[in-house]
Amino acid sequence: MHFLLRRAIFYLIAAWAAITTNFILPRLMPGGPVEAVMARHEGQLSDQAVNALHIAFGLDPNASMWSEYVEYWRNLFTGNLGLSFTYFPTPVSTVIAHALPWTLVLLGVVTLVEWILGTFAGIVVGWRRGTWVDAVLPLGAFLRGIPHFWMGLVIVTVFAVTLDWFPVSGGYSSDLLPNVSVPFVGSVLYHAVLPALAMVVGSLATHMLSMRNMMVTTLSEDYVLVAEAKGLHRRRVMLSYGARNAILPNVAGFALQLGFVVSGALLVEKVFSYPGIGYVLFQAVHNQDYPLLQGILLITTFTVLIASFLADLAFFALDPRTREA
Amino acid sequence: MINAVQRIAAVVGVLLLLGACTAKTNPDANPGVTVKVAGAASGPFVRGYNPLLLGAANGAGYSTQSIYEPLLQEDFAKGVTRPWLAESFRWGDGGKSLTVELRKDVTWSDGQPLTGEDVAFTFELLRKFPGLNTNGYPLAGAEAPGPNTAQIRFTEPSYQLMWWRTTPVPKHLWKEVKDPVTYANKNPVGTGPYRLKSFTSQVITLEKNPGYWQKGLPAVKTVRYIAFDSSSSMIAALQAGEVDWIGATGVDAAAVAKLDPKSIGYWNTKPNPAVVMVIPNHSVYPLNLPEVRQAMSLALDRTVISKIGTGGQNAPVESPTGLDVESRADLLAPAYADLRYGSADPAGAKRLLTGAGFTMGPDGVFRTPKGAKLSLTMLLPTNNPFGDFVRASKVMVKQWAAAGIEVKVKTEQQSAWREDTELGTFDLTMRPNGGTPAVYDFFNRIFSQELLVEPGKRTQRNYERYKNPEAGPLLKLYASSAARSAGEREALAGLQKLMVEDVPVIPLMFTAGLGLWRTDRVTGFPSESNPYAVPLPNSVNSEIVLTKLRPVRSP
Repeated sequence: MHFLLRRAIFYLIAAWAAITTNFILPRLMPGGPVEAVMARHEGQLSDQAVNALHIAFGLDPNASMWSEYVEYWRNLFTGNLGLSFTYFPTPVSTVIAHALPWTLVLLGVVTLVEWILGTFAGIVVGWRRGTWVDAVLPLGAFLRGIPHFWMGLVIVTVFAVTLDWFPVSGGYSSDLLPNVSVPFVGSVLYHAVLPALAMVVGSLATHMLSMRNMMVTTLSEDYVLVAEAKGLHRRRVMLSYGARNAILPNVAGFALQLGFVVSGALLVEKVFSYPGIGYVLFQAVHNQDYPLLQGILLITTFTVLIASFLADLAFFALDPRTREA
Repeated sequence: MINAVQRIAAVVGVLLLLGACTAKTNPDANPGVTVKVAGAASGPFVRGYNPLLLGAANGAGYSTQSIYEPLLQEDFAKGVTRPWLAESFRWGDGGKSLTVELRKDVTWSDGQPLTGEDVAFTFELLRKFPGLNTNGYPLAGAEAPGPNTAQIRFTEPSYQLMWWRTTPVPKHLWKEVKDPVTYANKNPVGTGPYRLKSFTSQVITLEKNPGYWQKGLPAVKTVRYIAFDSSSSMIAALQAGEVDWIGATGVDAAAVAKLDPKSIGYWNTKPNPAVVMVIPNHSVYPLNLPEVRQAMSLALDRTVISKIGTGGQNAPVESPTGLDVESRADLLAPAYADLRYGSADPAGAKRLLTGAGFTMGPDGVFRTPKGAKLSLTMLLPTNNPFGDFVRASKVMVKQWAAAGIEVKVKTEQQSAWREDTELGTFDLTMRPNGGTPAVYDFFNRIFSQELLVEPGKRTQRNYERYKNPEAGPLLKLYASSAARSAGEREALAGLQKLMVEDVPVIPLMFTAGLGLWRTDRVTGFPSESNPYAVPLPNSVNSEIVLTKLRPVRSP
């Protein structure tokens, strides 16, 4: 149990550091939320608006960073994330609650699918090393090198604009109201195909390549040779002797990638105008919306922390050495 | 591996089928009944319709502007206001009292009539809650002396205030609101041509307000505002026919129109008289010398900068007063009515500098009387929604070089640039100014002596730190003069004289506003030949455009 206890302490410290960074980082940017609103209305507003905005946002220009920090912690413990400046006076929790499910569903499913497919493909390709299957390697390396948003632009141009097979943008048809009905759910799935495709193509290759390389390394170990010499079934050697040992780095990779589910989809969401959290984050940064930024970063950090904690647990189950440490 | 591919193919196939089904169950098979609008790249919508809050319209995709209406509508093409909810108004008490007469036939979308009480109540809200007073009105109070009359009192002469921008809210609903500053107003009741039907983070549906005061309007029964994250995805949707009217920024409209020349139309206009100016920092030597600023202005060819530097998107400023010669003809001082910028005059610029004691160096760059090289740095934002400043600066730098003035361009991220211009830590920069129908506001931003601060202190006006004892009294005279009065004429003549002779700032070009639309479902968008409103779906004029649209009859 030592291992888990040590990890728990580590996560507490990491959480404190992350929460504090979330507070400090936005405030290090030049300008401020009021200046950002003024910028959005360049030339249209009288400078009196600065005063009005300070009052409306509840910002005290003379408050010290420390008193804001204390207030920030107090709000965190009471679950109060504050009002968003960009979407004033909507609470941050409402803004996030509207946008997050889209990202979670799209990216959650995509991440899981690409990880499972990529890892499985990597096992097979690694097992058949040195055969014609190796031809997928340069292709994989090429696909991995293409940025998701660029892949998105190509996909939109080809499949949506030119061929007109799929819609150009959005999360569902603008003619439908959200409800649990066949047309609506169908529309959601239909709209999710292209953004999902844009992300799957590249990441699938990444997982496949790393799994394949670990697989090749593991398969050259003596115990695999022994297993084969014992005459074990090929599948048992491939999965229990090879894959089980080779999969550890990929599990860690998966945990890290889960954290990027929230933040990493920004460009893809922007290309497809997908109603997710990535673009809300972009807006929050652009408008120096401290409460919204803190809210989204908080969720991002916690996803990363929880995901890596789960990865630790998976290690614990997969790797007997961690249990003895 | 092959199995996996087959499985993906099967899944995609099923999704395609589902999608095909949904496309056929489209309830809007009848074209022209619905118009789809993308106001701006605002991201997912958030339900908030408080029209008194600054910037709240952005969260609801600018649909607020079809629900709530201003007291006067701004006619950007002519630079004036026209009667809207207010039929007429008159100033009294030396500009300290404003009496507004409302139309008698206006009702809120819940059936209650719009009254003087509503207007007085709204201005009282602004007075009681400074967080709502975004125009900084010096309010003393507001009353309703008659059923359709409101009287607003100010603490100082306020002829030049843009009081009409405040949209009245219904007193019978808002008097219950405890804190109007944090009130989201999720179910808006307004006077506009449309009312809210349904709201999701991706689509806002508005339906015709049957009691709208412009009888018989609007012809288009349903308007959908659709959320977009970027100009590029708006354009793709326009091309694919998924949206009818977009407010994209920083795009080449002619190239977009070529994608579908039969259906896509556009109008690239000066949506308001906002002027992009080169701002010299007067606290930096030698920019404090008028001859240097005059020479820099003389060396520029604004037509070439507009054509090559902005691809024709931003129209050049013609009058050295900085005013638009088309919409402001009546406000130009008689002495400058026919004065126009010429093409670049590097020889004239050199003469000015030589006359001021500058000497030409061996490298073709002037030396200041103090012996230093006449080399300046222009600080620009890497990107700006109001024009591609960096691209324009490449042309300008060459024109200045021909006159012996060396200018180097340094770019900064937008908020850092904003901070530096406000703090006055720059030699030269470019910024838009104006953007309101009030010429007083335009000149106040340039000349304000009250907000003349030392570099290092933040300001929102007079970024150039121009100091002139004449400017303050002229602005004061302007503020306390009624429209078209002798006082206004005197103030305008004085301020324009300072603009032309002293060149505190160097007017360059107008900000660009671009509307792009499709005409296969609806027609009647404003254009160069019919400029009844600005073609931007995110402007206060959007309600006018929506009421003028006509469905195209299907063959």
